[in-house]
Amino acid sequence: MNVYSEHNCLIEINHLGVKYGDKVILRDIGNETIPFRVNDVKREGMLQGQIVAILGRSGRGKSTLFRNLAGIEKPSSGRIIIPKTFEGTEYKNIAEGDVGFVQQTFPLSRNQSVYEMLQDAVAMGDHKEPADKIIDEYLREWGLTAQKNQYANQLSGGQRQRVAIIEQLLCSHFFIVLDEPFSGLDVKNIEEVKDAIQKLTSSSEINTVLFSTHNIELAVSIADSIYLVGYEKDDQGNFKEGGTLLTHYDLKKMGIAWTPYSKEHIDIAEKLKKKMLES
Amino acid sequence: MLKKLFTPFEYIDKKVLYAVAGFQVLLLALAWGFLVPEKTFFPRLPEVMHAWGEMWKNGLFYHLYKTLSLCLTATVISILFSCIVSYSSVIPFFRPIANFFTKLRYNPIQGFTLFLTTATGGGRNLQITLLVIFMSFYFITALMSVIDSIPEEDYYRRKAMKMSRWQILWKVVIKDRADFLIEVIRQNLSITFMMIVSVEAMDKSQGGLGALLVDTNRALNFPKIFALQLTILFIGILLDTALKYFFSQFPANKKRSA
Repeated sequence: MNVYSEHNCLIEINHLGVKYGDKVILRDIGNETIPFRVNDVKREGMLQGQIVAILGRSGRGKSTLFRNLAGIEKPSSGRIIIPKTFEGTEYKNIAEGDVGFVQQTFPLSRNQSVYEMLQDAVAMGDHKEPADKIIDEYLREWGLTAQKNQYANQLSGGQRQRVAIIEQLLCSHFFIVLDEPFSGLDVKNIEEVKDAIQKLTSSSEINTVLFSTHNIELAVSIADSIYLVGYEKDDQGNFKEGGTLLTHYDLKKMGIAWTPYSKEHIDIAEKLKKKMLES
Repeated sequence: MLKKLFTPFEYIDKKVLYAVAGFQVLLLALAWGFLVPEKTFFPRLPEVMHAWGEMWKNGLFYHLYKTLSLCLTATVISILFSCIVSYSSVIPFFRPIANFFTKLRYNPIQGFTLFLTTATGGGRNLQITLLVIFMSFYFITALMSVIDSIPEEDYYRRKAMKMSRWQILWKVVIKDRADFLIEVIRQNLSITFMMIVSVEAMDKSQGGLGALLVDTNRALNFPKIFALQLTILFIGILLDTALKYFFSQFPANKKRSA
């Protein structure tokens, strides 16, 4: 059993709804039945960030939720709040630029080298050290030193993703949203991304990664909290319009967060798979 | 290999393709040289080559220079103007104005000649003005198509990096797609040349290949007409190749190396 404690709220979603015209995309995300709240988790003797997985079948609104989490889209109703400062207890609505966002296609600049892209990112962050030093350090840490002067079309999928993640980190983001980070990657690249997420969350207490995936086993193996987004059924058994939170598994409370993959993880994965198929 | 050459979608080595193209040009030249009967209005290759030699001695280079300098001047001014209009199309207030410019490409050049002659005083100024105006309609259309096809994800990325809208305009639309300017010029080059030849014909005192073509047409000098058309074709191919090369030098367009 891993000992931990939860402290300040880092991200909270309250009754979030998104509509495009008359079409309901997301409905009442984060309510009294299934709250969406990510607290600062502390574990004795180590730095522990937060890893939240958001699962759901295609078309259930995960990407829309992530764009709202990144502050890039404004919800039609409800709100997402984050602390104004990490030391204080005042909260504010999430705004564009508050949260790092790495998209499924990991878009990068067409005509900039890795170094030039990261220079742009450093310029947007609060850094006291020279840009060269910071960039070289991050490249070394993330195994991209050899790719420093390469361009986007010379990088592998895993390398592109790492550059996209570093970009967001260099903009001084503590929260990062990864939309389908494992999609289309081979076995080696998947391990690289898993390591990247672990690296992110073990380097700072506050670092929080929210990611979506179709791979339930992967989510269960690395996340400490899992939400399922899908279509809810009404009393007649028909799907209600718009994706919403169907369930939440807090792996920390269940005692299986940060532990090797075991039978308990498999059980959770099976339950999630069943619920996903019904949603 | 022969079967492959006549099978759709087969991969053929570039060197083989160049050899095939060279062979086809040679065949065409031989046919033109030896199979065209004498005493027809269709000029034979030796007549065309002779006419070309005559024109070269009588100042073809001067007319080439006039045409190319007109092309360069008009293209530079037109691209600058087109960039301003196209890039401002991402600002909502200016979008309808930019859209309107794209529709003006349906108007023929001849309709505005008299008006612009009066406004510019004619001569070189008229030629440049006509070219700039009408080239711009095509450049703006093409550039706006480039801008409209920028994926939303590119904007989201920069928004998440805390960039302002103006920074996003500069980084994503202008700087990261600068290579498309070259491609827009290249793809519209044939229209540019058509317009140049027309505007040069309007004021022959300024010289140029268009002026030469008008005089040669009037004289019904078919070998010279063909020689001029071939010259224009070769210049077009040269410019097209040069622009393609510049476009390929941008990192986004280079072949990926291992």
